[in-house]
Amino acid sequence: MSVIIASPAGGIALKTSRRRLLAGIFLCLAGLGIGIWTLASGDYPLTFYEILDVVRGGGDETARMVVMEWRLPRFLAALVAGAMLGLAGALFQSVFRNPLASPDVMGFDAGAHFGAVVAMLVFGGGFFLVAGGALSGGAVAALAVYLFVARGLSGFRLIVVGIGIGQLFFAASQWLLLQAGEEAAVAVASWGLGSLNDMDKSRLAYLGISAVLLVPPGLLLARSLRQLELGDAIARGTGLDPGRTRLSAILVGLALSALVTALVGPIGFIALVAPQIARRLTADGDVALVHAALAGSILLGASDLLAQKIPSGMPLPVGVVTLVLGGLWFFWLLLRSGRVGTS
Amino acid sequence: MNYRLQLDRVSAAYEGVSVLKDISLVLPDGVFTAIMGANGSGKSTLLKLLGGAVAPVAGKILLDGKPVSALRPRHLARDIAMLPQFPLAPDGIRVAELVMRGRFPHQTMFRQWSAADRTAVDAAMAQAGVADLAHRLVSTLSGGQRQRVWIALVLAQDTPILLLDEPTSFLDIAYQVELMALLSELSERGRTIVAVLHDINQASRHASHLVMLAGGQVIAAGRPDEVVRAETMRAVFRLESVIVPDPVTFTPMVVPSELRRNR
Amino acid sequence: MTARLGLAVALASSMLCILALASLAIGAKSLPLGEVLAALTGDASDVANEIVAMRVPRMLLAILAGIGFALAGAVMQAVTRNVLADPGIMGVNAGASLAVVLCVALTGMAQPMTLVWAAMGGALVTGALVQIFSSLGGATALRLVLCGVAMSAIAGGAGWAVTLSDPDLFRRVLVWGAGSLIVTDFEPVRAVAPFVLAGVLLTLVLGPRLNAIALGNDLARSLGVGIAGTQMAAAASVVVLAGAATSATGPVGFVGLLAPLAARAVVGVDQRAILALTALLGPVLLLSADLLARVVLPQGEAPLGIVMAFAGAPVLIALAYRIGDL
Repeated sequence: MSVIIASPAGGIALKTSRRRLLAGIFLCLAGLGIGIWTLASGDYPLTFYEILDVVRGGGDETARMVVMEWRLPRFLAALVAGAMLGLAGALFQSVFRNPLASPDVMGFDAGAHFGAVVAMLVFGGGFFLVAGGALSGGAVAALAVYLFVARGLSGFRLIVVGIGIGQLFFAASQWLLLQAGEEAAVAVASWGLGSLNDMDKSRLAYLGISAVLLVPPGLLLARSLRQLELGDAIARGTGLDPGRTRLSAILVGLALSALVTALVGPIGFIALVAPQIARRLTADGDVALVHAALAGSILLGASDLLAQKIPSGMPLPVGVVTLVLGGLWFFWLLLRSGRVGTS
Repeated sequence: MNYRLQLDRVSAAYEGVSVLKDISLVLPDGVFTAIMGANGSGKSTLLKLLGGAVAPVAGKILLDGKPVSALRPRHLARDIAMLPQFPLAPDGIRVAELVMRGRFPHQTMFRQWSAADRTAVDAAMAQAGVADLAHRLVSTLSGGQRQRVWIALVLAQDTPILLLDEPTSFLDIAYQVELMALLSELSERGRTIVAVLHDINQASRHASHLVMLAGGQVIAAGRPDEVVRAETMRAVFRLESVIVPDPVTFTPMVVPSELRRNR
Repeated sequence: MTARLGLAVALASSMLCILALASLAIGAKSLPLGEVLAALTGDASDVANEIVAMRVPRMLLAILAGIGFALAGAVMQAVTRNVLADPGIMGVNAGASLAVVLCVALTGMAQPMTLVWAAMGGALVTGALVQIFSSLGGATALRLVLCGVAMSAIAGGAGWAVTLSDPDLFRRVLVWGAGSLIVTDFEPVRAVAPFVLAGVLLTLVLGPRLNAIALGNDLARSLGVGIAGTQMAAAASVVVLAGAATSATGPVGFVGLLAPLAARAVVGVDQRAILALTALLGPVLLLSADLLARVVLPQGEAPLGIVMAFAGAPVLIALAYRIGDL
């Protein structure tokens, strides 16, 4: 390493990797802070040391139940689902070379939601059916969008097409729910906004298995995607199959976001915002998949904490919070880019 | 020298940065005036001030002795037309429809399209040489054709004063000559033309009044033979040059005498 | 061109008439057309008279809301020079409906007139915010849409949060929130009509100015159009039209996008023609959606918003795909 530092390019490389490391540490610390807060606060407040006791295997009965049965599964679910969404967003944004091309904006989540609703209302549910429904729904939406990509659509137009496809699926789900009658509708409504309120261990397990199966292949795509961002010609010239890379990234991203939708519901904006925050933190113009996943975890964890803190007649779905937070963040982003543009 | 349009001790700023400093200037009636200067010398800002698109920080822009800012936009638009550097053509608009929009200041709620409008539009399209393109979609035209359509639009506005911001950009040399000839012809027929131009030799051939800007001030203003001199070139562009008579028109022609330079 | 406009207006008007009659005839209990016509003059059986009398306010409200959403969209598209501008996409509808939800939640009041004012207030605030945020650093089409999407998300999320805070409110708002036309008296019609009329008049005056704005602000100014004044007047008409329409039906998307785009495709680029045809096509769209809702779910009253999304989304996709060719 000391040899490389001598060259100016090596200096830059070292500096960016140090920045990446710092950004990663910062994200982890933020996640830890939110985690402690989530575990400690609520109707039954706990101190830091009580939590530590419980995690070590001690603590009293009530504290054990509160932490291990209620709060920890919920927080872990937020971390895992957030990471999956953040990674999915980063994959799509990189493949489409478009910071708006995330599965929620492009309608993939709405497609997955529709598939899951069909599975629940028509076939009666169960994890594998719902997951299968979500995957097929998401795949149909993605295929529809892909048909337009294949016809040469890109940029802003593609986003609008994606939004339209999403609206279509959203309307279809709404219609099914109205058809189903009030009881089924109310049961599905909270999930339909994206909620961690009734997260239990079996769903957490499914979420964990999905993440273990899908996150590593997603992260491994970083090198190919970095090359692909230079354009197909250079990618091919440097020995990459652009079509294959793109397809793998889309499939992994799709599976990630569809499974989150199946298990937690369609949660907006995490997949859109997390990769952008990651790129801002690393600030080297490079794909930042790990950072995007970390940022997604933190965003969803923080949003769910907020959802629990806001007083409300009914438990607030976290999807409502991410909607508002994501919108505010978007405004901030636009404001900032505006200032940069004029100065 | 008669004049309707005048700048009286005008200073202007663009996004907080001073661009023009205390300029006083008259623009003679029925004359083709070319505004020239180095990049960033405030040419476009000067034109926008005249058209009322930019407000001065200090001083007044006067039309017939009255401040332009006090005039209603529609009244001003019957006296002064301005072609900006980057106008927008709506998707799917045809040439004739675009040119017709130049008639806006002459129309009212209740009299939207008259015979006078038709005559003005036809004449403007003929003058700008786009009559045979009338039914074409603007989006299918070449850059040069499109520029002439825009010229037709401001001609259709039928104002005594015409302001143009770099009208020759996008035109090939033949169309440039044609446009310059059109502008000087219009001025001979009594219209006041003020155009921001880059090509000094072209300007001194066709325009009869030149204004040289540098550092936000007027360095020289007057007939081409008064303005286009080696010392002006040095002051405005920091360029060494020899001034020779144009072999065709005998107007002054700038020939740079440096072959390489370090700015 | 004018012949084409005349034909389009004639066609759209007759469609509007047919749909208006159909919306009186079709429903949970359908009536033959002859009986509807007889009922309009009060000559039908008592039952038919009563059914038609109950359906008239709904039909009128659909027409008013259709004009409101559609014209608001047309004005936004013209003044922003962005064919994808729409009170739904720009977050104006979401803001108006958030204000209505807040109004009901805080005061418990649901007087139509109060709701119209609340909706216009919400539309004004969100519209102004979107405009201000998007213009910081230069308003591009993309920036405007992004700000609108952000505003829709914030207002929509906040609306959900307010709604979920009270189970009773949840039930009442859920039906309205998806966009529906369940009215049986003339009170909402009376509340909404003056505002829609005012918006239409304002839009009428704006037509020629919007034609100049289409050429870019510099050239429009040189043509004698006051840019700031036109933008303010346009904003005012959008607030009034979209606010009044939202208070009538809840946030119904796509009307403000589809009607002007269809009008544009038929009559070209003259904003005056576009506005005239849009004002007819908006109600045509909304009446059709309402009819379809009644036919598909006769007893369930499928909300308009959902039907409009089914009709609108494919067209939005097709238009976005073809936008360069328009």
